[in-house]
Amino acid sequence: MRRACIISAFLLALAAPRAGAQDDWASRDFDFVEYLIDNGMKADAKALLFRESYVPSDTLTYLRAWTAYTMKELETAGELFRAVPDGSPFADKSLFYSAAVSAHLGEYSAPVARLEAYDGRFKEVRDLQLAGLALLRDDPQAFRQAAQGFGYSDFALQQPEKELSAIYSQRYEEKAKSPWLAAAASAVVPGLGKVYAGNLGEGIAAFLITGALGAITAEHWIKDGPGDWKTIVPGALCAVVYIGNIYGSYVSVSIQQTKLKDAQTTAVLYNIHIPLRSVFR
Amino acid sequence: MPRLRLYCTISIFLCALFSASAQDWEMRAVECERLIFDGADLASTNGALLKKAECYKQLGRYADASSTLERVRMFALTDEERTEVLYQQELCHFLNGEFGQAAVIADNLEPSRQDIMLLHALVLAYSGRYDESEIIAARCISWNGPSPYLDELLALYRQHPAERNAGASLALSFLPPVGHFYNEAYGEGLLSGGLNAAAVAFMVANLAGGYWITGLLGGAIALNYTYMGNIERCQELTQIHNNNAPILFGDRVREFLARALEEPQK
Repeated sequence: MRRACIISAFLLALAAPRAGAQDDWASRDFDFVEYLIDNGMKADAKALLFRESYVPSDTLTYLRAWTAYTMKELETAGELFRAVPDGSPFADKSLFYSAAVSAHLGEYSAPVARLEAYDGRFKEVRDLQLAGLALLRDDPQAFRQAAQGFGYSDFALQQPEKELSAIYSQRYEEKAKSPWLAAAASAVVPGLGKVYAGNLGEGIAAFLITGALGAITAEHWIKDGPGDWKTIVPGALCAVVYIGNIYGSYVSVSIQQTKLKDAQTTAVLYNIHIPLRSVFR
Repeated sequence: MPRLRLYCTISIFLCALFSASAQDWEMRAVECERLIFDGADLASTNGALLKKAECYKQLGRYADASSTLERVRMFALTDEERTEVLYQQELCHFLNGEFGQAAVIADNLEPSRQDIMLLHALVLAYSGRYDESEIIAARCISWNGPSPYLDELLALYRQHPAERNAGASLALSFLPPVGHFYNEAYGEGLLSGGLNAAAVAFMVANLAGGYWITGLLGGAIALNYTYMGNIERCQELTQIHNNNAPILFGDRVREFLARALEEPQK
């Protein structure tokens, strides 16, 4: 009997710190969690919120989502933001943050349906995010439709709206550089295609190396004749560099276009995300 | 015998009750912060910050521990307590590999205890301040009287690595392979010297043969890679040495001091 009591007490002691009863309300710790996050103690906020002693509630879900978001754990944050119920006071904020998080994770279509179904008081934020997601999906028609809701008057949204419109114009209204034109330019003057693509240094280097090899070949051609190996070797090298430079110019424009698109994607993600901090302060 | 068994059982029970997992340390850190959030007085705030820093140390989060210690209100501490806080800060920076920051604290902390001396000696060795480290290490191992390890310590510090002069390395790199030899990269230096000699030979042979364009342009292209590459590499080698050598020497000092303090008598 005594042994049984001792063993029970021992097991109870082992289990005590791990199986806390669910008797705490996250809303009571709301200010404390905000204080922890605002002062850079995000890991502490996570340790506090992700234990099992809290009663499940929308406040708890929102706080967990917000903590995961500030710790850049985007997948967890996205899941938790989506789990905040519609009637919650945190529903609007969670909806827009979940859309921004989804966009950062490369899920451009999934948040659209949720945003389109939204009929709350932040319609301009919704339109801003829909326009951004349209640009990310490469859908100009959807962008034009969403951009109709841009007011260009709200302090927090004015600049992002302008920037998204500028990206739209740059992408769909301005003429893009042609890789074929770059290749043709390099065929005429080695390196010119790279300058056209925006790589001035690479263009000058290509011109100097091709020119030097051409001059070496010409010197040997004059002194040794075209059939001599001293002419053939630099000549072959010059031809390889010349052709390689034409191909390189073609590729340079494609690379530049990819870089531009990446920069635009980053700018779109920034502009559908950062204004939320001002809107939901 | 039954009493012994009872004591054993109670001991195990208490161990189970008070053994702390990582999660427990995290929660203790949070509770310390909650105390501060709830408006604790100055003394309690400082106490909570020290406890919190200890929790972070137990979790191996030394950067968090040192930033927590930075929040301690030093003006409200006694000299002894201030010494302890600074010591803990220096220790956390050291454990986090921030030797420069640890050395700054070491400069402001009087080595009044053996453990402080030990830490100072290590921090200064890892920071490349070997002479100061040597003096403090000698005082540390002689704390309880003359140490039989003193000669060994002096011999060890005589082998400390010399910092390589970046300017000298740059100047010598203009003469391949002398720059490499200065950086003790002999094989690489010979290879670099050979490549540069080949480029110059190509240039000279062509110029002598009347191939002016080939000699000048071909030589320039070849030397651009071999000669300029040699200069860049020498600078890189100097930087690698200056970054790594104090850490390797610091490891040796750490091993030596651990041995000297664990076995005071040979």
